[in-house]
Amino acid sequence: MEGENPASVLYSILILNFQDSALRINNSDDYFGIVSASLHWSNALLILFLFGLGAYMTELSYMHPNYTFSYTVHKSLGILVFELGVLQILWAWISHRPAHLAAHRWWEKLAATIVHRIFFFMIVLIPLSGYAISSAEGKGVEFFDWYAIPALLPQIENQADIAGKIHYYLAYGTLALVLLHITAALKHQFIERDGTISRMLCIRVPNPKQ
Amino acid sequence: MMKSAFKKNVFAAALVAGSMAVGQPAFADTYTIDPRHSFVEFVISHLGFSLMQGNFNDLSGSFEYDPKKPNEANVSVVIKTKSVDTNDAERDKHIRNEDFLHVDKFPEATFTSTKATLDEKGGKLEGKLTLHGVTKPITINVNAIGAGDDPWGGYRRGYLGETTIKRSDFDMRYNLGPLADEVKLRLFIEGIKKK
Repeated sequence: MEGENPASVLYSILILNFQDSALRINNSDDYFGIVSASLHWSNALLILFLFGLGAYMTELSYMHPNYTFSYTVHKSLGILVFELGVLQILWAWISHRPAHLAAHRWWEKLAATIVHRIFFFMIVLIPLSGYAISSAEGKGVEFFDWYAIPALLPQIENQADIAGKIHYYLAYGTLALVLLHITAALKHQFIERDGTISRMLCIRVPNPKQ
Repeated sequence: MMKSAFKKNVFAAALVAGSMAVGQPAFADTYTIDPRHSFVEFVISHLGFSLMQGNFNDLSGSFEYDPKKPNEANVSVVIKTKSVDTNDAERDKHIRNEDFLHVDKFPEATFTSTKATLDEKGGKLEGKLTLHGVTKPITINVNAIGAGDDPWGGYRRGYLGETTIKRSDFDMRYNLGPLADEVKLRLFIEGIKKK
């Protein structure tokens, strides 16, 4: 069932995915369910966008037309990623965790597990460190014009500068792991053809019990 | 008669002695700046539409002042640049970085007076301002607010100093629009007389 190219992957999601069973909401050893998959892909897109936006906006001059809007979007989507990230972690905790693909080597399984755990830490810590910058002097952080998260962290001296450095290094460190994660997933999907990405698209990839 | 004349003489002598004591060169009193009642406020144009106000909250220093020789007064103030406060954490973080104050490299701004032209109401204070690693002469218009015994056994003297500087003079050229080169400074200084 693993996709040969993006078009066949899309075809699989739309058609084949739903041929043999009811809606795949929960996870099984053969695939990730809709909840896990939609949280994974929406966070993936948001996080990649936030990496780019963060690098872009911090280079903008104050007089640039995009200056204020870029920061508003970055902070708001950062809040969204934090919220979705907490849901993702809770769901991973309470739902069935698909077994590693049997075809993977032991160190691949170990590396994948470590990187996934780090992502779960970072999806909480990076937004928190960004929130610590903006809320360093007692002001809340706004989600667009909708609502604001009040400043709840205990304030420390030089908080904005310290939190800014933490935010920067955690983000770039995580970016390196994200690139590793993407490269490994693409290699497994398209070179080893083991369906690693397919099953994150709710497609059944038979995975015999080990 | 004799007695009263003697009395008069003693009284006169006391008066002369007293006036001599007053006429002797008195040493100027030294005042320590009270950091809890001293601030530097700055005001800068925001895009030409309004004014943006902020403070430096951490300053220290001292001044010497003799009411009889106000022109011999001198002042030295040290401002911790990282104490900049514009009531917005992100803006303060930006002002602290290399675009503006670069506080890691230039943690202090200092003012040292070189010439005072003062009377009991105030006047002018010339001196050197070192900011962002650049030293330039500036003149501060001084307004003496008041002086006297405080309720806790000390003696205080307070001033408001006002001046205008240009960011570009101090090599801070980050573009905030053509009207935002000029920065108005107001120094609220309260000193406690050293005992």
